[in-house]
Amino acid sequence: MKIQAAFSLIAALLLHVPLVAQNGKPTQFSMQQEAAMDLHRTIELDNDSKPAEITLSIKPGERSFDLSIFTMVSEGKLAIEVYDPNKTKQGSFTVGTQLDAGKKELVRGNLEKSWIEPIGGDWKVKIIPSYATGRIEIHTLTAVY
Amino acid sequence: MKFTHLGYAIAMVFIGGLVPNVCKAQSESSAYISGHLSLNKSWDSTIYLSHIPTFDDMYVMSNDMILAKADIDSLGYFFFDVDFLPEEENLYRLHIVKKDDTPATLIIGGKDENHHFLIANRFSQIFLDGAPEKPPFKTISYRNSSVNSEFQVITEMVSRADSVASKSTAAKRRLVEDQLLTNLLNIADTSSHFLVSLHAIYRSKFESNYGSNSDKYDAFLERWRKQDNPYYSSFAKHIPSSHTSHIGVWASFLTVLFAAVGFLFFRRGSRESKGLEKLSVQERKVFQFLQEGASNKEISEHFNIEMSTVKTHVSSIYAKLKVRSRKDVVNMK
Repeated sequence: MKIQAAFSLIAALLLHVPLVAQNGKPTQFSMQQEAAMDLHRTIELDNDSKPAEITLSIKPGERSFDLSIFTMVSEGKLAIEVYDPNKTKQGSFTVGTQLDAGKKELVRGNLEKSWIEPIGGDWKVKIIPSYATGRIEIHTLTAVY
Repeated sequence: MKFTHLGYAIAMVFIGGLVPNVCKAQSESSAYISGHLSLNKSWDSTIYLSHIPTFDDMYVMSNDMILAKADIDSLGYFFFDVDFLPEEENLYRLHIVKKDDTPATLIIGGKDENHHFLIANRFSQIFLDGAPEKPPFKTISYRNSSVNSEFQVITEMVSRADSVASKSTAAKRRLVEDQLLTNLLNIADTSSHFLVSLHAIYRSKFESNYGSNSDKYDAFLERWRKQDNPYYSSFAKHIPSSHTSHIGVWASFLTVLFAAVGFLFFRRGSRESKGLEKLSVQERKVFQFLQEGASNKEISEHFNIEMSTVKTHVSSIYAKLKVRSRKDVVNMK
């Protein structure tokens, strides 16, 4: 799985330091409101079958959490599952191409969810590809009081 | 001549009166899924019908699931002829796409959620009406399908609860979710329609709620156990095997039993085939040491017997087992 290095680094840093925005420190990422963080992560898949898991750390007491996942596959199959810190599945979908398709085809799947006062802890986005070629974009927006 | 003309005229009147009735009868007998949607210009004017083989596949999208497509006219009306559907009721999905999107696009949640589930078969005559809201399938009413009206009640109940929960504090969200779970399990318990009942079960997030409501889910399985279809079996797979059926438990038990008996029989046969039954009790003990690679001296010390006695046992073992060396004994494992 080829995770775009720059995006990953920024996302990883930001995901683990949510208090940066809370403290009102200037940041290099887009600010939707005074204490909001907008994170973007892009993952490229190239005939991939290795499952991956992305952790989204939500601090207890955050006001809201918006999650958008955009996927596109041109080959293979891709399943996405979202779990809250209580391990309850909060959403899932699968996009797949026809195995015997003679020509290129695109299949898209998007998931958009929002929570007010989300459960604090590690939210997981499970990525389960099967010979998948395509792209995943994960956008998160968190806001504090 | 006049008589001919009169007969012709009578015939035409008769046919003229008959044809519309025939057409009407044909249209009444054919199956269809039709409806009306209020769409803005961002949406493409095509609607797709997909087959959903199990409730686990509700949110699976691929081109091979799409059965048919239909045009949405300028007033928002569409029509699918569904004579080709199976006789049994199945789950289907209607979806639309944005103008720039590929036909196989599934959007879950948000203002652009693009799909709607319904039950149909080759006899269905369904008309659904979408209220002018965002997303386009947010509020759907059925004019002539009680099963889909019932199905839709569940969809809207969940959607409403999700909407309230997403805007509520954590404490209120728990209450909303608890109430939703209670309502869904009640529907699952009381609905007379299998797919409606199963829809309620799936919407109740049984994977995380099974532990605290196992009796309800088990009751569902028991109630609909005669359902011989992928919808039932795919759900049953999620439920711990001890609850799925006593036959399954017995089958598992017998499988283990047969495996154990077979293993013992094989071991015995295997041992007998090696000629171990010909060894005396003492020789078998020595044989075990030989297999572990012990020397004559070690065997002598362990059993507190003379070296010559050990050699006698070893020679006898070789003869009875028709082997020539310790290496052959070790390789008999």
